[in-house]
Amino acid sequence: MEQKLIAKYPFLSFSKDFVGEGVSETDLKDAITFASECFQHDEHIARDAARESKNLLLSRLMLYSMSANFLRKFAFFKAREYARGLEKENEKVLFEVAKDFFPSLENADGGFKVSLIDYLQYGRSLPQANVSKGMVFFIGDDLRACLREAIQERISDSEKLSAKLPENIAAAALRLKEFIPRDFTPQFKGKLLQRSELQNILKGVGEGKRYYGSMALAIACVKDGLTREEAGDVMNSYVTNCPKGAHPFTPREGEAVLDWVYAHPTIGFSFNVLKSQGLVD
Amino acid sequence: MAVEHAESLAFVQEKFSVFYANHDLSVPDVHRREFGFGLHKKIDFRHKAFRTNAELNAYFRQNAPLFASYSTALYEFPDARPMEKKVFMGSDLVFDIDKPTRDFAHEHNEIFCVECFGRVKKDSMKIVDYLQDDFGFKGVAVNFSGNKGFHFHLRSQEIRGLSQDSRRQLTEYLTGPESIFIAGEEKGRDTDLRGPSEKTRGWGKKFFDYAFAFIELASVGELKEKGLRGRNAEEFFLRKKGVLELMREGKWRFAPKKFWDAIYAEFKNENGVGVDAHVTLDLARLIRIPGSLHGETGLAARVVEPGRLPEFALRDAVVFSAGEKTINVLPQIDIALDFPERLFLKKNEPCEVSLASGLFLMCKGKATLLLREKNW
Repeated sequence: MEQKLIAKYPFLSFSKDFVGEGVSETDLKDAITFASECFQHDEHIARDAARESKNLLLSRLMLYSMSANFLRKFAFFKAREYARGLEKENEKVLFEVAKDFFPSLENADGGFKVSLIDYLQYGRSLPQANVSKGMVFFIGDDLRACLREAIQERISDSEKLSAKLPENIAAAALRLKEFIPRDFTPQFKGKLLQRSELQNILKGVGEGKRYYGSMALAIACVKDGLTREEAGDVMNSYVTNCPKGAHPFTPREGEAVLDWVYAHPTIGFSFNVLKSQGLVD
Repeated sequence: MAVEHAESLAFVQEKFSVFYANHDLSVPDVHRREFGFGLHKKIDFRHKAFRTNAELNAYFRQNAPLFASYSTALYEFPDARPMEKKVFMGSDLVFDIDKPTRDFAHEHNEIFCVECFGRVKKDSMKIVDYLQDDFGFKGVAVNFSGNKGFHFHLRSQEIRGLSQDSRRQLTEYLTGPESIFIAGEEKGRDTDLRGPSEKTRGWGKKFFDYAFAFIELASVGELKEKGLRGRNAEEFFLRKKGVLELMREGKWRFAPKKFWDAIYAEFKNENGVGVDAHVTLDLARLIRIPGSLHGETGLAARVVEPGRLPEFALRDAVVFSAGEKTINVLPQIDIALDFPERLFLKKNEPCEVSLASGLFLMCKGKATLLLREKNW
C-alpha cells in the first residue's frame, strides 16, 4: 500500500525513504522528461515509488537552481495534477494523504477536523474556517482544496534546496531549460516598479524589513496594473532575493501579502511610508 | 513624547529607580531574549542579554530605564549581532491593541483619552474570547501596555513555531471575514445564496446566531429598516418560520444578498477587533516588559489575569501617589485631564499636582518640574 501510494503521490514525506543514493544519467534523463511533461501539460504515467520520488526531487533541484520562479510554476502544475488524482480516490486514501500534512487529522461530524496549529501551516483562509476550541472542522471538498494548496506549498518549498548543484545535475538542468516556456520569466513592467527605489527593494531587503518590502512591491504591482499572476512572479523574485536571516521569508508569506493587497486594491502607495520603514533613504 | 527637560528627566528617572528598587520583574525564558532600553525614546539601544532575572533586576536598579522591552523571539545567542548570528529559536505570539477598533462619537482628549481606553478594554475582552474560545489557546498572558492598551502573549512551544503567514491569519480572524455568503451562479439573482448554517462554527456560527435571533424577533418595521422594501418585508415576515428553517440549513435565498450583507456588516462592526498587525507579524519585535514602567506615562505595565480584565481600571496601573498634591509643575500647554486626576491647567501657570499626575505630565512632555515634593 505504502509503495503504491508513494508512486502516485511522491510528495508525501515518507517518499525520502525511496529515493536511494547516487544519481545516474538515466535518473537525470527521467527527471528531465518528468519535469518537461509537466510544463508541456503532457500526461504523466506514474511508475514505481523509487522512480517517482527521485524524479520529483531531481526536478525540484534542477528547477530551483535555475529560478525559484520555475520551481513555483512546476509546483502549481504538479499540485493540480496530483489533486485531480486525489479526486478519484476513496476516503481512506484521501485521509492517508491528508494525514501527512495534517498529523492531527480526525474524522468528526461526518467530515474532518484538525488542530488549529496544523491548519495554520497548510490550511486556507482562517477567517472563513469553522474554528472552535482550537480545532478546525471541514468537509471532504474543503479538505481536497486545502490539500491542493498544501501539495503546491510542499513542492515549491525551497528552504532545504540548494541552488548550487553537483556538475552532472547542473548540466542536466541546462538541458531541461530548453523545455521550459520562455514567458515564465518575470516582467518587471510599470511606472512604479521601474523606479530605482522599488528596483532596490526587489533585490531583497534584510530581516525585519522583508514584510514591509513585500507590501511595498505588492502595492506597486496593483498600482502598475499587473495581473495577480504577474505580481506573483515579481513577488517570487523578491522572496528569492531576500536573505534567509534567522527565519526565512517564505514564498507563501509573499503570496499572502499579494492576496491581501489584491483584495484591497484601493490601498495607497507612499514613498514617505517606505522611508519611515527604512526601505529607502 | 520623551522627557526633554533635564531636571524633569532626572526626577522621573529617580522615581523609576525607587520603584525598581522595590519591585522585581520576572521575564519568562529571560536568558533567551534580546533586550532593548531607552531613556529618550522607546529604544535607544538593543542587543542586551541577561542570564537570569536577578541580573535583569540588578540592571533596572542601577540604570532605571524609562523604556524597557524584550524580544518576543527566543535566540540561542540573544546579544549577538547582526540578527542572523542570534540563531532564531521561535517567537512568542503577541497581539497589541492600543486604539479602539472603530471610531465613535466622543470628546477626544489628545493627551490621554479615558473614553478610548474604555473602548480598547472592551475590544481586549473580545480578544481574550477569541484566543481562548475559538483558538483554544491555553496560558494567555495579558498585560496593560502602560499607556493606551493591552498586550497578549502566548508562549507555548508549538505556538512559537508559527510562521508570519500563520500569525497574519490569526490577526485576520480577529477582524472577521470580508463576506460570509456565496451567491448563486445565476447572474443578478440570489437564487442559491449560501451562508452559515446552525452546524457552522467560528465566525459563521457567531453570525448565524446573531442573524437568526434578529429575524426571529424582527417586526415588519425592523425588516424595512434593514433594507427590505414594502411588500417584500411583509412577505418575508409572514414566511418567517420557513425562512428560519432554511437558514438552519445554510440557505439564505429568501432575501437579497444586499439585505444579509447589511446585517453582516453591522455584526462584523460590533464583533471584529483590529490589532496592530505589525506587532503580531514581526518575529523579532521588541515589546514592553510586563510589569515595567512606561516612560510616556509613569504607569506600570501591569499583568492582568484574563478573567479579571473587565475589572481592570487605569488606577490599578498607578504606582506613585495620586492623592496629596505634593509637587509643582509648569504646564507647557493648556491641559484638561481626567486621569490620573481631574485637572484643568493653564499654560505657563505653575500648579500643584499629585506625584502620579506630575510624573504623567512630565513623561508626556506636557509639563516640566518646578518644585519637587514639599517634604523631600
